[in-house]
Amino acid sequence: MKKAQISMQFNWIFVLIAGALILVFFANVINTQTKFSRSKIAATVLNDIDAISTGAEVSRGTIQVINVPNLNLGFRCTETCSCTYSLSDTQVPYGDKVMFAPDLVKGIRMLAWTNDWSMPYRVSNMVLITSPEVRYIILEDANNEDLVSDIFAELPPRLMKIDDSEELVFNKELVAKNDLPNIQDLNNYKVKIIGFDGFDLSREIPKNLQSMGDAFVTAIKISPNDRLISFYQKEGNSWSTDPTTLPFLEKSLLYAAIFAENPEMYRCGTERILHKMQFVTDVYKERTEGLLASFLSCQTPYDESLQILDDMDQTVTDILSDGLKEGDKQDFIDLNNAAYGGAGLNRKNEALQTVSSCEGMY
Amino acid sequence: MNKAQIKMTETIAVLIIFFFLLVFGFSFYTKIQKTSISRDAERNADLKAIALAQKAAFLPELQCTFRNIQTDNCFDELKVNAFIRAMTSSSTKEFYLDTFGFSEVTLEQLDIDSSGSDLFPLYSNPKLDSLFISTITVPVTIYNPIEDRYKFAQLLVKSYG
Repeated sequence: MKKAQISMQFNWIFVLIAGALILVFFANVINTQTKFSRSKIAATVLNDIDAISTGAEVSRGTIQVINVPNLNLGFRCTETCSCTYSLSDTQVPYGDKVMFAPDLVKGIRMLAWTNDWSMPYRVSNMVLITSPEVRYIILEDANNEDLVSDIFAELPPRLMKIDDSEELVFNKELVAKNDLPNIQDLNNYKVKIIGFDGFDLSREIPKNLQSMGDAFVTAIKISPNDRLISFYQKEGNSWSTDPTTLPFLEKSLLYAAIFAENPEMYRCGTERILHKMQFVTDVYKERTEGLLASFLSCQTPYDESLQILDDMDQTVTDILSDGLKEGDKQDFIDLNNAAYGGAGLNRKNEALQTVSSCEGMY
Repeated sequence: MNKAQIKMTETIAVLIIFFFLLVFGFSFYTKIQKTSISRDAERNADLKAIALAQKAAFLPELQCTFRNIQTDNCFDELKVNAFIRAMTSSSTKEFYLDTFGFSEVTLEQLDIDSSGSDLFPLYSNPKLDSLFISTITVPVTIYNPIEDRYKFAQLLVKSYG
C-alpha cells in the first residue's frame, strides 16, 4: 500500500471518529434539553396548580374552572397516606392541602370546588378537583329522595358560562335506578356511579360500560342512616365483591367521597382533617379558658363547652389512634352530636352570643 | 513538513476551533439557563411568601370569627396566644411544617393608636443555607375579645427559597 493510500484511509477514519463524536455530543445535548424542558414545564404547571389550589383553599364555597395544559395530571395517596400530585415524572406532595380528586385529570379544563369542614367551628377547607371529562352518574333512590336531590343540586353546576358560551364543567347526571343497565357509553375516560341504599351492586356492570378498563369505572354506595360509604371498582363485568367501607360525617365528606379516586384518598384526607381538628380544638379550648377567666357571669356555659371540647378531642384521638375504619361510625355520630346536638357546642355558642355580657366561642 | 502533514494540522486546528466555539457556546448557554433558573427560583420564593401570607391570614386557628363567620385579615388575640403556646410542642411544630415549611411568620402589633407595640412570633423555621429570602408584609388587625378592641398590626412573612 502506498503512503498516500494509508493517509487517505487514516483521514476517513479520523473524519468518522470526529463525526461520531460530534453526533453523540449533539444527541446528548438534545436529550438533556428535552428532559430539562419537560421537567421545567411540569414544575411550572405544578407550581401554578399549587398556587391555584392555595387560593382555592382559602376561599370558601367557590367553584373555579381552571384552564390547564392538555396534560395528564395525576393524584394519588398511598396506604401510608403519602399523597402527591404529579405531571410526567415530577411529583409534588399535597403538603397541608386536603384534596380529593380522580387519579387522572385529563383535558384542557380542571374544576376546583372548595368546601369547608366545620365541627361546628371551621376546621379546614377541602379542595375537590375533577375534570369535565369524568362522568358522574347519580342514581335516584326512592328512600332517599330529598338527600339525592340535595346532593345533585349542591354539586357544582353542569354548565357554566365561560367566554360567552355555556361550557360543560361538571359532568353530572341524575339517572333512574332502572335505567342504569342501559346507560350509554359517552366516551368518557372515567365513569363514577353514586348510589344509595337501593343500589344493587350484585348485578352486572351496565352493558355499555363493560368494555371500559377496570380502573376507569368505580362506584360508591352511600348508606345515609348508617353514615357509611362503600367504595367499589369494576372487576371484569361485575363489581368488586370486597368493598372498603368507611364512615362519613357531614355532607362535605360525602362530596369528598364522590370526588376521591379510592378509599385510600378518602381516608387520608379525612384523617388529615381530623388531625387538624385536634390543633384547632386545642386553640379553642385555650381561648374559652381565657374568656372564662374574664367573663365570670358566663362561667356555666363556658365550663360546659370546655367539657364538650374535651370530649370531642378525645373522640378524635380515639379515631386517629388506629386510623379511620368502618368501626368508627359511632365515634362520628358522637362527634356530630357533640357539635350539633341539642346540648351540643353549636347551641352553647348561640346561647352565649344572645347574652350581651358574654363572648361567643367561635 | 510535507503537504499531508500540513493538511492534517489544518484539520486538527479547525476541529480545535470548532470544539472551542462549541464549549464556549455551551458554557454561555448554561450561564443563561442558570440565570433563568435562579430568576424562576426567586419568583417562586415570592409566590411562596404570598401563598404563606394568604394561608396564615385564613387559618381558622388564628382568624377572628363572629357567629362562626370569619373576618378577613383579622387575628384573634386569644387564638394567637394559644397558637404561640401550642407551637412550643414539637408535634404541633411538625404538623405546621407542612403548612409553612422554611419560613418565619410574625405578627407585629403597631403603636399607631397608642395601644403599644408588640411582637407575636407565630412560626419560625429559617433555612440556614437559603439562596433567597422573600419578605412580604400584609396590613391586618388584631382583635381582643376581652377588651372588645381592635389594634393595627402587620403580618410579616419571610420565605426561604
